[in-house]
Amino acid sequence: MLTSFRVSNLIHETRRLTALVCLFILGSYISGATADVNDLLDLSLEDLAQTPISLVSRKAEDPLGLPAAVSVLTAKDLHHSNSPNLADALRLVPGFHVGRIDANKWAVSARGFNGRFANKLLVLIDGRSVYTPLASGVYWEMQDILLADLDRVEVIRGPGASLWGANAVNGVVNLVSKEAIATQGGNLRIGTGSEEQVLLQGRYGGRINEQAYYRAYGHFGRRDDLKTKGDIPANDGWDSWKMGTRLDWRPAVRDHFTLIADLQQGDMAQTALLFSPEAPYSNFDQHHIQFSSISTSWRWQRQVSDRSNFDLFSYYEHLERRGPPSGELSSIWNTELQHRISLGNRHELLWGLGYRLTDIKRTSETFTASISPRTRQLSLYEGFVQDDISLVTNRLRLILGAKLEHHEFTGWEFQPNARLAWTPTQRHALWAATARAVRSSSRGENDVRLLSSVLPPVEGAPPIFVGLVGNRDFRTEIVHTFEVGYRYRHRDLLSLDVATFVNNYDDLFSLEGIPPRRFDDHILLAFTPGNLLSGRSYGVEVAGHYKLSNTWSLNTAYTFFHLNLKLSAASSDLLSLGQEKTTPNHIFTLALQGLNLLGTDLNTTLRRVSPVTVSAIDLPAYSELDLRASRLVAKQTSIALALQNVLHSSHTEYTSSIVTVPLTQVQRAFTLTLVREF
Amino acid sequence: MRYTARILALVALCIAFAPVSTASANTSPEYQVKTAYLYNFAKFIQWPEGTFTDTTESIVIGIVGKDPFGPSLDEAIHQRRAQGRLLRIERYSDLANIGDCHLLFVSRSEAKKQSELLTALADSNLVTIGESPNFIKEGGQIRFFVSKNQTIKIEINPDAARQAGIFISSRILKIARIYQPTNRD
Repeated sequence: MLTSFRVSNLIHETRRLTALVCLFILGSYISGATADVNDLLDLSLEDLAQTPISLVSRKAEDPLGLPAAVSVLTAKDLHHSNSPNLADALRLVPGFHVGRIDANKWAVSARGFNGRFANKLLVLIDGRSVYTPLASGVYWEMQDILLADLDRVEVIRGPGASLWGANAVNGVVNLVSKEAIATQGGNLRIGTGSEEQVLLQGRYGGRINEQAYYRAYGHFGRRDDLKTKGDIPANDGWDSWKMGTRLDWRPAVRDHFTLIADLQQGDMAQTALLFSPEAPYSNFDQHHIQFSSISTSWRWQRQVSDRSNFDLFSYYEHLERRGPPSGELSSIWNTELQHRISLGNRHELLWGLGYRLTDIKRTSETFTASISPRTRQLSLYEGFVQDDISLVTNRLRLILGAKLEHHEFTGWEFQPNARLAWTPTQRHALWAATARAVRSSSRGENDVRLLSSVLPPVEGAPPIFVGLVGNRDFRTEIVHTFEVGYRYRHRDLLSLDVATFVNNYDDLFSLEGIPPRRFDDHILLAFTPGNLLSGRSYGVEVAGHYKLSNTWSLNTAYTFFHLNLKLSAASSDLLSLGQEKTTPNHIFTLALQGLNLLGTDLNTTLRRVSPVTVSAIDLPAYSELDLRASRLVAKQTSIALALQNVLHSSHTEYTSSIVTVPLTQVQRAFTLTLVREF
Repeated sequence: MRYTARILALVALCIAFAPVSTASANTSPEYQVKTAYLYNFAKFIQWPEGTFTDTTESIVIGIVGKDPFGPSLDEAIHQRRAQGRLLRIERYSDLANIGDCHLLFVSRSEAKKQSELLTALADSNLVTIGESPNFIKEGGQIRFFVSKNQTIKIEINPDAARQAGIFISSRILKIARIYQPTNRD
């Protein structure tokens, strides 16, 4: 059930046994209905006797009949992952493409349109959207999260807009952190390596009383520069620290309150092409970008009865980024309410309302980039309804739902979907879905002035700068999707997931020429966002899981993707068709997890990514291998050695198409980490 | 149109004749925890010598009366081993029809009749597990109860176990409340 994806995070999270990877409705599909029982079976008697019933998954759902392309990275998967950061960890998700641009920038997307700010992927951390409405995308470097504190990462490929709203066009990533009771005691992580030079992470979880638990954490990381061609440091090293706390209070079995507060700061070096009206007009400038944020969220979940529950959730976030080419200060207030109720034996109704206020202020500007007006407040009203109908008990299931949103720039948006799943036996399921989703017009697309190149002056004529100028009439991008999938699952031993899709896009972002503007000392040859591009993408995503033993498993995934774009005859766009090639046509991954050899836990990940072309730069196909070995060296102390990109001393994965940065190579790297629990 | 109708009929036929799902996905959390306890009992309880005829004989968990676990119990312990032996579940409609088993879970539905039976089984090399408030008083060995902070705990009567020739490991006793009869009569 698609709703469960959201609700598992919102309402039913309460029903989790914290010490385990209990994935509730959505999650249970992946490891079988008895996943939670199985995990309970592996608990020690002491832990078992301490397990509150309310934390055990209440209702494990039919594992197969989920009519959407979903995957879950469990705490186990994240533990085995040898990437210290979130963006790289997402390489494990079938259907996802992750391209590292440089040490502090990533391009992450599913089903195409990848880029530094992939604008069709929505990312939520414990229900808080981290999709920035300024650049429309995610600042991955700011999603500095302790992977060990994550309970799971739930991923939907394809639209999730009927529940999550705009921008959940090609996928939704939902990070769910562990409840405080699951992280009791201390955990200290110290690491060093060739790229991750300093890694310090500490966490302590404690108990206030029988109903209330907390954890507090802090981490610091220092990453080295990567290198450009010719072994020159790319000047992209960065430092960041973060501290935060989570409090879970269950005053009664039916109530659960959660409070999360985070504070973070970072400083990244960057080399980027900046422009000036005087000679030399453009130069690769070396500078620093500082970012900081404060966020706090609280949630109240109540189980009204067996058939009804609600969830009230609010958050506030304050985010600042300083440094060339421009600075921003954003504040976000969000409140949402959701209610789930079972009606009769066949209907499970979920509905919700929400309001978000985003205030984005420009704090600095350069000749290269600016935003005007300086301040803008964007209001978003939303409401959704979904009915999950059991047409034939345990056999045929229909989900109908729609979200209605009101956006500041574009007004009302209607985003419906219909999903059907047929589960003829306990092992096989077929599903199909169709949806309409939109990508909202961002503040950047309305208000920006961003230069991208310069033609130096000839014969006394002023220099001509080429750039993007915002368009107040830029509309939302629209997609109509059609998906069909098949799932096979034999207990938790063997599973196969196949999802195919066709997406029809209309009113996509195109770059339209407007008459040149003459200034005192230069001419601006500007392009402005238009909606004159349309396209069709199709693809197949196959994921297989084979459990070789209790600990050892094999995961493999293959993704095929193809995109055709077409400009309207009225368009003057010369660049946007290039997006056909910004996402690889083929990605293959093979991961062997949890092989235990002489007390050493071994994990390997092999991936093959076909070529891409970004900003007219051809980036060749590559294959890479990651290895990780970890070992318990003393009671409660383990040591892990991770080797990344073992096959080549360096390779290029991706580059930025927004702000021009040097083509940077990802290097072979090692990280040594010591983990101590107390 | 005729073609569509035929496909629909085929689909309907498939649905109608598909094997009925045995996996009840709805075991309550309480019984999920109790399932895990049963598994641990199988792991840490020792039966007297001669209880098992050979090394491959399964440990049988019997459930008598209305079954609160459902098929997910079978699924959970499927292919699991305790003390090198596979586990098997058997269900008995009532106390009169109990077969050979090593652990016997007495459902609440049998609470009224259990006293007599527990007395009869007192020397039978069988571990009796129940959850009615009087289960131990009436001669049972292990009783589940819900603690104040909503966890499932166990109460054990070591004397009853000893009488049945059952050795309960200290790993279990450590987390259990030990039954202390206030007045023996």
